Parts: sequence; C-alpha cells; structure tokens
Amino acid sequence: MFRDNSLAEFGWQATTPSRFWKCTLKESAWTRALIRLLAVFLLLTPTHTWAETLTFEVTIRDGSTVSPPVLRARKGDSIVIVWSTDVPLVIHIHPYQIEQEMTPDKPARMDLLASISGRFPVEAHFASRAPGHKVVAYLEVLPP
Amino acid sequence: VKLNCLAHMAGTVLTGSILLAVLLTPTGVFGHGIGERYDLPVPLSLWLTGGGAAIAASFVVASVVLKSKEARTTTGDASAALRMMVVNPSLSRALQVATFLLTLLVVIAGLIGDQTPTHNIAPVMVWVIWWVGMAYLSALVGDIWSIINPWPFVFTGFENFAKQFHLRLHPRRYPDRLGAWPAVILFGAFSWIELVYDSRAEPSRLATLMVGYSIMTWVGMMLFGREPWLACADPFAVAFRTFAQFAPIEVRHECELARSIAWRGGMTDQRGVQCAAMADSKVAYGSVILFRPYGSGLIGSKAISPSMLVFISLLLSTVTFDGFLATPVWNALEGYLFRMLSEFPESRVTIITTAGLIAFWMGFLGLYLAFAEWMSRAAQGALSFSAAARLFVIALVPIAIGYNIAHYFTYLLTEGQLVLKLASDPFGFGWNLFGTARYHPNYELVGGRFTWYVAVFAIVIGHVFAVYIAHKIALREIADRDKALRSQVPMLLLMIGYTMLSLWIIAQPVTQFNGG
Repeated sequence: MFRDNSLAEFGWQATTPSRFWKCTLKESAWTRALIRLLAVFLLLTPTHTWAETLTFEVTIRDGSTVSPPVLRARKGDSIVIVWSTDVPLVIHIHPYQIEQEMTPDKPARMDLLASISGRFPVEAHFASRAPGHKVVAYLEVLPP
Repeated sequence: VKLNCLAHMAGTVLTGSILLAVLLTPTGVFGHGIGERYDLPVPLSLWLTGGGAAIAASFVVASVVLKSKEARTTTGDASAALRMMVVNPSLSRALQVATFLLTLLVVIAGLIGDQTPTHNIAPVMVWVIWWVGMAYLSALVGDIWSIINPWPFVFTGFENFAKQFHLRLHPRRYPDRLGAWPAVILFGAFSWIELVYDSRAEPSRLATLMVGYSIMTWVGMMLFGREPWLACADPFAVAFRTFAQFAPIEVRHECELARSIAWRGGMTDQRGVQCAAMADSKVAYGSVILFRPYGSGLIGSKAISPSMLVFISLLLSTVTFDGFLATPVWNALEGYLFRMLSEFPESRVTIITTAGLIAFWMGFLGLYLAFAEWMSRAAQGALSFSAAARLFVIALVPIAIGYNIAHYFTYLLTEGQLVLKLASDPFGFGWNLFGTARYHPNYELVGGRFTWYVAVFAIVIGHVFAVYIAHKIALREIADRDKALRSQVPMLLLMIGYTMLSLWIIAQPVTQFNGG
C-alpha cells in the first residue's frame, strides 16, 4: 500500500503521492514541531457536546465548606444545586443575579441555566451575623 | 522661601494625618463586585501552545535581529517619527477641564454617596476605568495621562490666581540625587492600597485618599516645580510614562528637563538646562505628538537611573503579583502562614499579603540583578554589571504589558460596564439621569474561548517584542556582535521564565482566600 517509506514511517496519509507532500510542505524540525503542537491543540480542545442537566449537592457546615467544590458545567447546560446548611444563609452568584435565602430545616434547590461562561465564586452571606462573605463553591461554566 | 517652608510643613502634616486617620480607622462594611475577575483558567492545550510559541519565537526573533543589516540604527527619535502634528492647546485644555470635573465628581460621590462600592461611581472610576483603562491606553496608544492629568491643570490655575496678587512661587531645583525615589515610595504605597488594603473599594476611603494625594501633589509642585514633580515623584505620571514607552504615539512636552533627571539620573539634556532657566517665566507647555512603531520607544531608551530601575521592577512585579495573589499556590501558602500567625487574629491577612508583596518585589529585583551580572559575564568584558542592569530592564516592559492585557481583559469589559449604570446614579441616591440606572452588566460580551485566545496571544506577542527589543539594545550598546549575542543568552532565559510565569498564572483557577 505504501508508496513512500519515509512517509509511512512518519505516519502520514500514505495514499497521497509523496511528491505532493514534498512540494508543499518542506519537512523540517520546525514544521514537524508545529504540526505536533497543532495536533495536541486540536485533540485537547473540547469540541461541541449536547446540553445536559447536571445536579450538584453542596453541604455547608457553620457557614462554609471545607474546601470549596468546583461545580463544572458547559455553557447551555441546566444546573441544579441542592444545598443543605446548618446555619441560615443567603447564597449569591453575582453575574447570574442569583440571591437565595436558606435555613437549616429544609434543603434549598437552586435552578439555573449556564448562560454565561466563566469561573464564578458562589458566596454565602450570614443572614444573622456580621457582614462579610465566604466562598462556598466555584461555578465553572466552560465555553461550548 | 518662607511661604514654601510653611506650605511644605502644613502640607506634610495635613497629608500625613489624613492618611493615618484614613488607614487606622477600623473598616466598616466591605462590599464586593469591584475587584472580582471571572476568568476561566486557560486550558492545558492553549497553555502548551502559548509556551511553545513563545520559546520558538524567541529563537526566530533572535536570529532575525542578528541577521538584519541595519541592526544598529536606533528608532524612537524624532527623526524616526512617521508624522508629526501639534496638539491643539484648546483641545487639551478642554480635555483637562473634563477630567477635572470628573475627578471632582468622583471625590464628591465618594464622600457623600452610598457606601456600597457597586452603588457609587467612585470605585469603578478609580480602579477600573482610570487605573486599568489608563494602563491599557498608555501601553497601546500613548501617554494620554500626561495630556489629560487634571492635577497639574489645577496647579497652573493656582499659579495664575496667585499672580493676580503678585505672589510668585519660587520652586527650588529638584535635587538630582533624589532621582525617581519619591515615585518608588509613593508607587509602593499605591500598590499596597491596590493589592493589600481591604477597604480599597470603599468610596469614602477612596475619596479621602484622593484628597490626600491632591494636597501632596500640589505641595510637591509648589516646592520643586510642576514638571520635575510629575517626572520624578508622581507615581502615576511615572508609571503611565513607563508603559507608554511601548506605545506608537509619543507625547513630548516642551521641557524635557525633569524627565531626564528621573530617567537618566542627572541633568544631561542641554535643552533641559535651557528650559530650567525659562521655567519660571513664559514657557508654554505645548505638547507634540510623534508617531513611531510599537516598542521603538523602549529600544531608543538609554541606560536608566538606578532609581528608575527600582521603580520599573516595582511596577512589573506588582502587575504579576496581582495575578499570583489569586492562584491556589498563594492560597495554600497564605493558609499555612495564616494558621502560624494566630497571635494576630485581626491583621494577619494584611501582614501576610504585605510581606508577600515586598518579598515578590525583592525576589523580582534580586533575580533580575543576578541575571544582569550573568549577562555582564557572558559579554566577556564588553558590558559592565551596572550597564547591563540599567539597560535591559526596559526590555521586560512588553512582557508585563502582555500579562496586564491578559489579566484585565474581561474585567475591563465587564466591570467597566458598571459605569453605564452609575452614570445615571453616581451617588447611589436612586436617581436615573440617563435612564440606565437599572442596567445589569452583560458578562459575556466576548466568549470565554475568545478571552483565552486574547490572553495567550497578548502574552506571546509581549514576549516577542521583549526579545526583539533586548537584542536591539544589545547590538546598539555592544560593538562586538559575538559578545552582544552571548550577553543575550541569560536575558533570553530570564524572559522565557518571566513569560512562562505569566502563562502559568493565567492557567490557574482564580481562587479567593477564605481564611483558615
């Protein structure tokens, strides 16, 4: 099948006449490095996926989480966050204009559509105590 | 002299006491909104592509510069200017009046308006529009700040007013040995406020700091004259001018005296001496605008004074430290130190961040000086340590500009939109002057993916400029081409390291310190 051994070795489309490659692409260390970089880039760049509905559960103890979890979604996904807390809190996600109060007796459910890409701190403000806020989670919405 | 002395004492005491009062009063409410970045970390693939491109470009640029025939010509002088036009004095006057009124509005809003940072126009105007926006403008367009700066404009008003009563100010000669040290100290203080001080977004604090800054600036101008103060002591004039060295438009003021003191550490400019003689009388400070290729201002720069070297190291390290503060690595370190410093429960975050800021700066400067020593050795006698240190720090400026663009791109686009909302209600009194008071910023003006490309592209392009500029300077200063090339090996390594640090930071998830 292979007409040109050097190309077969390299792993390129062997059915293409070798002359074509030799004319248009001067094979050198530079071009090889560039092509490899491009390949890595294309392989690792996420491609389009279908919108999903993702559910996350976050538990807050004494107004904070031990290490804030990262809630990762893709733009267009529907997100459900189920919160449970042992102190009354107000949870904010500023760019999404979300502000929701919650109390220890019933778990709060937060529904949102991942419409803005970015990494957003989800902040808890104490309903009763002094002002100030803590980051209880990060919402990461990756571009489509 | 008596008037000067009194003014000096009064000014120092007043400024000092205001600043102390401002900084020591316990803070009240601290809101947020200003100062949050919502950038996604750059993905691994882009990080690798950017890093690879930067390293590859380094060698390509280096070989291109070395092969080029006319490598020894300097650009950036008036002779290299593409076109020349004179700024219309009435236009610059109108701009100064506008910025003066805007500054006044910001101070008044800060003092009497709503104290929630996002309900008051002061924080967004100072931290987003002015500080970030002006840095962008300076680097990409030119030293616009030197044209629209309202403080010297008001000072000229004072002078003219005093003349009505036959009062004339007799500024003393700015001491050469002071160099740009006052600007170093003041910019250090400003960086502390920007990066450490936790009430930086509080409108009344900002307004008080601006009043303190105004008094200090005017007293300084009274003592040493307007231009020397702006050139050597005013931290913002010096910072924006440093960024603007990269820009394609050169704003040149008629009197270059002061500038040469800060930049070269001494009055070497004959034109400067002539200006000094006339400074008191009727010199009209006309500005001239010259066009030049990007980066040529940096190539044209001669060896800078030690104080300017320290200033630039401070400027560049704070730009990077701003991003480093939001990385998980810093968070882990901060958490560790936080637990260690349990004897200071109230102030430990301030202590840690302050120490980090100083350590980062000292580390940056120390590393640069070590590389300057290495460059000097690599050049085999053709370049002294002092010359190496004072010549090449300028070449790092484009890397800092690239990083600054990457760091603030979406921040400027999104938080900057708050101005649209606050223009209708600058004091937070519930007004709706232009019908935009209910405007909610669009957080996706550009897509997340576009932001990544801009960030990586800006950093890589900054790196390419830096390598090009450093090689051009080396070829100009070192007659022996072989030695010039050898001197650039350490410099290239330093620049690659600096660029990799920038790329690494933008690939880290933005993390806030939660305590503990």
